[in-house]
Order: sequence, then C-alpha cells, then structure tokens
Amino acid sequence: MSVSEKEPILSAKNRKTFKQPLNETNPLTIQVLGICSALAVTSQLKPSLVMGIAVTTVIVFSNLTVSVIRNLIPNKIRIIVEMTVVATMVILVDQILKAYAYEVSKQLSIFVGLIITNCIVLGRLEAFALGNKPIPSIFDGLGNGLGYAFVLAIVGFCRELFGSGKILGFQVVPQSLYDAGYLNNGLMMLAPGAFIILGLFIWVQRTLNGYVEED
Amino acid sequence: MRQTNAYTFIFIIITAIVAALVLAVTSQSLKEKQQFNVETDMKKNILIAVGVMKEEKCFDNEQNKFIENCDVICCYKKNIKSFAIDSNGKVKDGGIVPERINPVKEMEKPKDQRSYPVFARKINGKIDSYCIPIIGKGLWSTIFGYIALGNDLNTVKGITFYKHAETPGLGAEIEKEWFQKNYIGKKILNKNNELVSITAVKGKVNPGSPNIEHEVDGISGATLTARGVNKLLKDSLLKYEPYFKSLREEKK
Repeated sequence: MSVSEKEPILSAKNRKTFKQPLNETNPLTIQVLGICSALAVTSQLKPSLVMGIAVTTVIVFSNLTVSVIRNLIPNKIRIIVEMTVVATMVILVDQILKAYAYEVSKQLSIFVGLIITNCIVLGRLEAFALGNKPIPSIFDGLGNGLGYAFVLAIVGFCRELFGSGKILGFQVVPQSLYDAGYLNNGLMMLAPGAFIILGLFIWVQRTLNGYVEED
Repeated sequence: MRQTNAYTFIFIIITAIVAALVLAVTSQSLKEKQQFNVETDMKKNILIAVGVMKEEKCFDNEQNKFIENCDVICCYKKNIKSFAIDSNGKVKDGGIVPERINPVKEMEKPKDQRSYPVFARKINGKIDSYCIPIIGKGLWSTIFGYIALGNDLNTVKGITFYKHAETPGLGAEIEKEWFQKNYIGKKILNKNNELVSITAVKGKVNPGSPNIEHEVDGISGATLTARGVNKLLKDSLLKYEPYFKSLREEKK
C-alpha cells in the first residue's frame, strides 16, 4: 500500500482491530495477561472501573506515541524507549489521579504505578504499535484497554456484590436477608475470589465462542 | 544504515529529556492540588478520631448535632487547634505548621530536634480532647492512624486507622468501625497513673478480666496485625507521655 492511499478512519480493518480484543483476543481472558492487577484492585467496583480507565488511557497514548516515532526508534534500544514512554504515561495518570480523584488513588495505591509492568501495555507496543500507523494503533489500544476494563468491571461487580453486599458503595443486599442468616462471602474479598470469578468468566466465554482445546 | 551508535545515543538522550520535561511540568502544576488533597484527608481523619465528623457531616457545638453544610476545611477550622511539642513535652512555638510535620521523617532526626504534632479539639475556646498521630508496623505494612484522648488524658475518645496495607478481611478489619468503636472509653493509665496503653487481646475480652479497662476485642485471624497495633499504640503514647504528664499535673 502506497503512502498516498488514504484509509477511512472507520474502515473495516480498523473496526476489526478494535473489536477483536474485546472478545476473540481479549488480553485478560484469552491471552491471560495482566492478571496480577486484575486480582489486586477488583475487590470493589469503583477502583476496578478507575483502573480500567487508567490502563486504557495508558495503552492508547503509549500506542499512539510509539507508533508516531516507530520509524525513528533504534531497534537495539526499542524496549528501553517503549518503557520510557509507558512510564511517562503512567506517572502522568498517577499524578492526575492524585490531584483530581484522591480517594480512589489511595485505594489503588501502588497498582497505578504497576501499570508500567502490566504485560498488556508492553505487549501491544511490541505486537502492534511498532509495525502500524498511528490511527490503527489508537484503535488497537482502545480495543485492548476496554477489553481489559470490561473484564475488570465484571470481576469487581461480582466481588463487591458477594463480598460486601454492595455496589459502588451502596447497600444492595437488603438487611432482611442478613437477618435470615445470609452472610457475605469473605473469600470474595481476597485474591482467590477474583481467580474463581475470572475462571468462571473464561468458562462462560469459551462456551459462548464454541472454543475447543487443541490436542 | 543510519542507526549508528551516535544516533542511538542522541535518540535516547532526547527521549529522556522530553519525558523528564513533561513530568516536571505536570508535577509542578498539580503539586498544590495534591498537597491540598493530602492535607484535607489528614484533617478528615483527625476530625473522625475526635468524633466531630461522621459520614461527611460536621458536628456543630451550638446546634448540638451533625450538620451538612460544613466541609472538612470548615469543620477543622472551627474545632481544631494544632500545635507542636518537643521530646520533653514542651510546647514549641513559631514557624512550625503542625499539619506539615511528617512523623516518619521526624523519627530520623536526633531526639532533641524532633517535633510532635498535637491536634486539640476545642469547645467554646476550651480544649476538650487531644488527638495525636499513631504510627508503626503491622504485619505487612506501616499503619497510620490517630488516637484522641479526653480532657483527663486517660480516657480514649476515638481512634482511626486510615492508611495501611494489611490483609483484606483479616488485618484490614482495623479500619472498620466495630474494631475502632471498642477503644472508646478505655483507659491508657492504670491505678498508679502509669502508662499501660490498650491491648487488643486474642479473641473476645473476658468480662471478668482485671484489666478490662485496658483491653479490647481482637480480630480472629489477625493476631500479628493486632500485636503491631498494640505496640504502635504504646510506642506512640510513650512519645507524648512527658507532655501529657505535665498537663495532668496542671489539672490537679
């Protein structure tokens, strides 16, 4: 394809780039990347949502930046350059959260900083942004970020509901149920709870997609 | 191939400079807002410890109830008088903002140069209770909190733990109301006016225990966190003991 050939922004290819990671190549449930943060921050829905947004922002902007300078980056030090870009983005997000969403940033604590080591981010830079133009890279980042955020939100929702009977801090399990002997599931508040939910999620997704394990 | 070593060096230097510039500018422009957030959060925790703030509402002395339209800053200004003391319990004056004292950094200084912040709650100009920071190691993390003592400098008025990284569901229960509530009304001094602090015991407090005034229910499955809390509480109270002692003498 020559450079002069213009591709429409919402071309079929771009849409596919965006849609694929939402389901077929979902970074969390199919590629099983970025699990540690998914376990750590999902005991409540709100931090899960913020973490999802933070990671999406970081992937999109890192993808964009690396894609713009992809032909300038010396191959020998490309990982270092990628890490610098990612780290800069992550610190920006962290600083902004500290200034405008202090309560949430306190809850997420070090996990915002640890986005730097989230395999999804570096994975997308290596696999996509280094070899593609800026606009498809943005779509790829959005798709992967939202694919991650979506799973995080589901896990956070289940854990908060079963673990503390609340959604976004509001009590949804009625007191009458507690009086009748219902108890919050303490396991859901711990990391293994997230593993179990994630496992169930992958099961459901694979059943829906008709996935068959190859020999 | 244009990717000579010189090119590689120049590229990485430019990348580093650009990244550093971006971060420096952001950090400088957001600094004030972040500092404000940190201080507001701290003030909120002091207010909760002395019992004048509940569910974002501030206690109004004149109306004798919690009111809506007074935020943390307003509530703090109305209720709290802060000052700093030295290791010997003398009030320090001039140039120190007690809210800006970092207790962790203070511990690195030689003993005679340390300052300890005190946050006193005043009602109609008279001091009603004293709130001090309590800091120390739990099982996994450093635990930060505040304890408020009543006018007799013996009875606990309230306690909060606001920052820690203990195990969720176990050690992290220290931030829950049920645990903190148990401290209210307990005494830190024994009959001979010696500091014995308050201990979170294993399991429930035995109602017949001779030390019932100095014991609270523990958290099952979080013995080590409780041990840390007991230690940090006593250590923190010890630091303020010279000052509290002088206050008690004055009141006699």
